[in-house]
Amino acid sequence: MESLDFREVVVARRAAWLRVAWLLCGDAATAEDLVQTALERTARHWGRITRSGDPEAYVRRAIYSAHVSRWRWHRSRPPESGLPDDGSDLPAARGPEDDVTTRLALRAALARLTPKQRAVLVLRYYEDLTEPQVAQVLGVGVGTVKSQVRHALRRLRELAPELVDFDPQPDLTGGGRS
Amino acid sequence: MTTAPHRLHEQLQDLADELPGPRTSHAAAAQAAWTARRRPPRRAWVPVAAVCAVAAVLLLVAVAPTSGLRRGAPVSPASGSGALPVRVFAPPSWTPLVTEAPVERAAYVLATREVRRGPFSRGIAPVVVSADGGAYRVLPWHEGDHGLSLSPDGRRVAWVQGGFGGPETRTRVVVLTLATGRLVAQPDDARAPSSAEGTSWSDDGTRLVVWGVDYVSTAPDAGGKGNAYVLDARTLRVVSMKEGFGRAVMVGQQVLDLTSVVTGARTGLVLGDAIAMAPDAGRLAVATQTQVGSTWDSQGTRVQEIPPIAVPRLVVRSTGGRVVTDRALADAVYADVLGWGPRGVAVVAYGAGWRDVAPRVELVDPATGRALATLTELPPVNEPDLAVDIDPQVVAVAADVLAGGRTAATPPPRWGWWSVEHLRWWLSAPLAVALELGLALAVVLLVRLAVVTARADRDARR
Repeated sequence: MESLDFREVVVARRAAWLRVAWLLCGDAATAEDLVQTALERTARHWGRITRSGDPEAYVRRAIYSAHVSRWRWHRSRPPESGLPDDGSDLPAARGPEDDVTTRLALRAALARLTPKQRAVLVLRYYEDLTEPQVAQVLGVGVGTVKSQVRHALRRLRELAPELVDFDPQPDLTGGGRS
Repeated sequence: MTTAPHRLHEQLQDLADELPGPRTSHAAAAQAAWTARRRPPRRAWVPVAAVCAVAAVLLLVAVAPTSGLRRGAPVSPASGSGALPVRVFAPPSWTPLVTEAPVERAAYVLATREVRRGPFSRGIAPVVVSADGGAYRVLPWHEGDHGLSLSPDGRRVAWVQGGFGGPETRTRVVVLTLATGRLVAQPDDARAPSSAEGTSWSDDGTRLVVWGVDYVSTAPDAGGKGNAYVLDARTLRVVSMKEGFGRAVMVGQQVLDLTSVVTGARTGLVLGDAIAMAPDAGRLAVATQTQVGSTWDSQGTRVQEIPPIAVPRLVVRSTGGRVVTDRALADAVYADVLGWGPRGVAVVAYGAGWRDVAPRVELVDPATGRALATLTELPPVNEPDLAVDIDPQVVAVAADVLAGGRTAATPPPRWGWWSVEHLRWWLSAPLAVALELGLALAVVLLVRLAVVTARADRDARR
């Protein structure tokens, strides 16, 4: 029974998890590995997780943990394609209507962030979690989340100012976007 | 109007939608994850960590006792002049080193056949018997150490490390303070004896006389030159040196050459070489004896089991070498002097008999050679080869304790590997116990983890 439940949840939600993982690591194969690792960890405690009532949260947290663990294990940031720090070779978005160029620029800019900065951006602005929720998922303090968000946004604006033309000061209310 | 966070959210969503299709289907991924749920990830560091933890525990067990981690205060504080134990017992199988569990001062130093000499070693080592309660402690002794002497107050022991001499031997004198377990070694000094043979304390305990052979300042084929060196007992630096000495003692501040008084004297933990100085510093007592040895036939069989040993004699000489008295020690087959107190000479004597030899420490009248009192009884021995098989032998006495004249009944030591005393000593240092228990727990957990991991890997391979 548990096996069937697990399979149903995975089939229903794996595509979304893969997207999150892809945003985290920027590589499709690595994203699949991250999700698979998280699924194996989840399957090991599936009975307890389903009793807790929110298995998806557990899987999501496992994905982020696997992402951070992988980064810590390699003890280095993922390769950055050898790009110079000034971001001069990033594709420039000519305007909001140029979607392909925009996505390429965002993808390149994300690749220049640290894994933790990418994680807080994805959690905060893609998954729409509040800062306390982000802190809980990553297992860090709220203050750390705030500073990481601030640094990540500042870095993004430096790398591709035309993509995110908003004030780099983060939302200090702690609330998510509604 | 779209706000900035909205824009970033939308941009991220657009980017996420670019993800190509997965290589494996969702159902297959779910099945693979479900199948692999019983296989914990391989942790190569677990067995390595377990081995390291085991090594750390062994290292701690080896180092902790001698590092002072478990060293406490002396078991019995010194009071009065101390007392000689009325009985001496063979040291138990596990007896603490004096560096592990100090004693304030010693009444006797015993020589034994073999005792625990360190965390993982056994061997011949001297054992001190406390003058305040009769506790037994092993000295940190190494192969080749020799020339031991006990300070008059019984609080310090001096000996020579480095083996018996020769031109290639470089010895050093060490002094151990029993109450602290602190060992002070002779500093590098060009004037120090290159091959020291023995040590002797001055009456006030401030000086140490060391005699030995100097091979450094003599010609290579000259065979060395006998010297006596006076050391400061605290710093062990050479204060003065006398050339041409064989064996020396201090009389007041003067160094006396004993070569003419005692010939053929040996040093180390061997019976028959001790000299006792009278309290008036004008006479010396030695025990002399002729030991012929066993008789053997041509096939190598001992045909006479009792060695034909002459009756030992107590010879008192003036410091100039003149014989003052020479008396046979009745009822003894072997004897050696230990010290000279106000009431007489302390002599360790091994009684006549065949399989019922009763060693004892006696107070002997130097004028008549007759025993005045038995101070201490030693364990009876049943071996005829007395000189080599007696265990334990008394080889030194604290002069001040002997002069005090007190004896006290002391219980036999109850130490041993599984004794309550050993356990109590082991638990006496909370820090050491915490470290050892913590490491032991870590070892258990890591080993268990290693076993579980190995089992899971094996199951997965099946």
